Amino acid sequence: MDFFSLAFRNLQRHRIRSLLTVMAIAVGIFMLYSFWTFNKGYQAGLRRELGNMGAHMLAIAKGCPYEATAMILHGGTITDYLTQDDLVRIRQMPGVARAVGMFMNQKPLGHGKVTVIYGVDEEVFDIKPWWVVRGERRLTGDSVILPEDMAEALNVALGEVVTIPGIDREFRVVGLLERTGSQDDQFVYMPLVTAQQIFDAEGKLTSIAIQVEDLARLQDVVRQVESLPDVQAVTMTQVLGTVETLMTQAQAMVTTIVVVAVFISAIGVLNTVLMSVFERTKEIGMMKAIGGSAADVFAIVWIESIMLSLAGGALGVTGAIVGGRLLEGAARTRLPFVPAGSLIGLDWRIAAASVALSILLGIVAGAFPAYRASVLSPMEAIRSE
Amino acid sequence: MKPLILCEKMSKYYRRGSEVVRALHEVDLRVDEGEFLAVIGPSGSGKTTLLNLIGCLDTPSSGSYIFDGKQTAGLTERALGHIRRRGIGFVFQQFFLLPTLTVRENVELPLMFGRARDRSRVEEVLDMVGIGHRKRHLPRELSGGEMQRVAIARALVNNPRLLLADEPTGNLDSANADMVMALFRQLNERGITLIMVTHNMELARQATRTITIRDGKISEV
Repeated sequence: MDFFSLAFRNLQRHRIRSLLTVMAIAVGIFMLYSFWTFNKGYQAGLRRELGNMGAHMLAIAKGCPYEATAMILHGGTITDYLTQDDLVRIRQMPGVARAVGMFMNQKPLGHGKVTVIYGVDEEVFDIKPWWVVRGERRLTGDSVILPEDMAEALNVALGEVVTIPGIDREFRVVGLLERTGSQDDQFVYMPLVTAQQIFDAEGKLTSIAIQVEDLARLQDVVRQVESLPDVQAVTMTQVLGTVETLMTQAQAMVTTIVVVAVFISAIGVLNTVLMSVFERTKEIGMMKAIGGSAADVFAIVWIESIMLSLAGGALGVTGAIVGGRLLEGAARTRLPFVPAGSLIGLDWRIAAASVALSILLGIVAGAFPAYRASVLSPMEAIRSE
Repeated sequence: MKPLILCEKMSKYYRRGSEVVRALHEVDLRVDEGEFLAVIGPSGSGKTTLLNLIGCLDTPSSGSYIFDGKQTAGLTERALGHIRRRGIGFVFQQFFLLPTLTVRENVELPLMFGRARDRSRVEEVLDMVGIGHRKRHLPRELSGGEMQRVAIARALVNNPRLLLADEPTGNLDSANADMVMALFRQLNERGITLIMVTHNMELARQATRTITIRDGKISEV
């Protein structure tokens, strides 16, 4: 028999009450861990996505920066275009290593779903050298390169003809893009000219991906690009900043909810342990009478509180790791942009920090009940009604 | 004989609102080692107050109380706790056994508080009070008499020189009360000093000496 087993047995007296308190802590820690890992995963995913763009900056027609960001990240409809002349001029600018014209637009499929068309030339492989394509890389006429998952979903193999959803035309699948784990797995790649024709935008470009020779001179190139009429340059850092700004408000609200949930669960622990102290006043008096010191009584009650919160913390983290996929799925349906790949997963550092926080909650929440118990006069405690 | 307990003009006053209650007033009491003292008196006479002072659960408002040669007046709660742990065993009317601990674990509690590594004394006292065969049982599985025997074993496990019993048979039927009294006499014969508060004259007669408390004053019977 030691203080830990005594504290554990005390908690077993009111199993349902102890369990409910553990559950309350678990919910708070579940939310904390999920939010924490999601946030971290989101930031990392966003950076990964932008890295996968392969360009240091994009030139687009002047307009809303949020629209531009949305288009860059997951495609979209854009009404203002660049021209082939803009592409030629940018290619001639000093400091520009490579400039690739792109045409991106989408066809609605109903129920909020769309087919995103990506009109590209072979040059796209210069800015995305990590792409692995089975079959042809060269796109001509009515040919497409499909991401493997999409081809599987459309039940089409390399070399076969497919009707692309949203476009009533048949295309031959000349290449299959191996999974990249990024947004690139969502697009249908076809010749630039074909894409322009489909959307009645011959000679128009939605964006020009630019790689610079020297990143230290990125701002020089930005200034040159923006000197072109009706053209704005968006660097990947700006895109990142824009998305993070959009996310900040949502994060602030979620953080508040998480903090409130954790605080409420701490109040729950305090309430449970304090109630238990009141119920055991006579027993505490007896423990002091038979030799228990104030420090001993304090330790026993404190351990009870820490055990409750530790169990809640462990349960919450386990629940978040196991059920994180569900939460991530829910977030994907509600947020305007979520990077591809797993966002909520096992992160030992966050798990350890969450459990440590739950222990801290137990320490803080248990301090007052433990103090109340420790200062009880043994005589008055025994005589209490 | 050497006095184990020596009270001189010991008083205890309580404040109840604006009123001061004299629970004990200038009490003189000497209890030698090996005595079995019964304290009787009507409700509210000060019996339990006297027991609490002797048991170092409380300190006198005035006067002096010397336990085993040590003046207790002015001692801290920590020092009083040390005296209780080392020298005094308590038996309460309500047993106060922890319901989720087995008999053995309940008896082990004082040793745990004393950070004792050797816990073999538990088996010894359980056998001494005749409850060794029930050591793995929970309190709810015991009769009232058995529970009181466990409480007595718990009081004895630290090898105290003084055993204090506050109405130890108050919750027991006559057969179990007789059994507890027989156990007390047996312990007293082994040299343990016993002070028992009771309002039952029949039980008090089994002690070697009886005192009466009335209105906070002691008189020998």
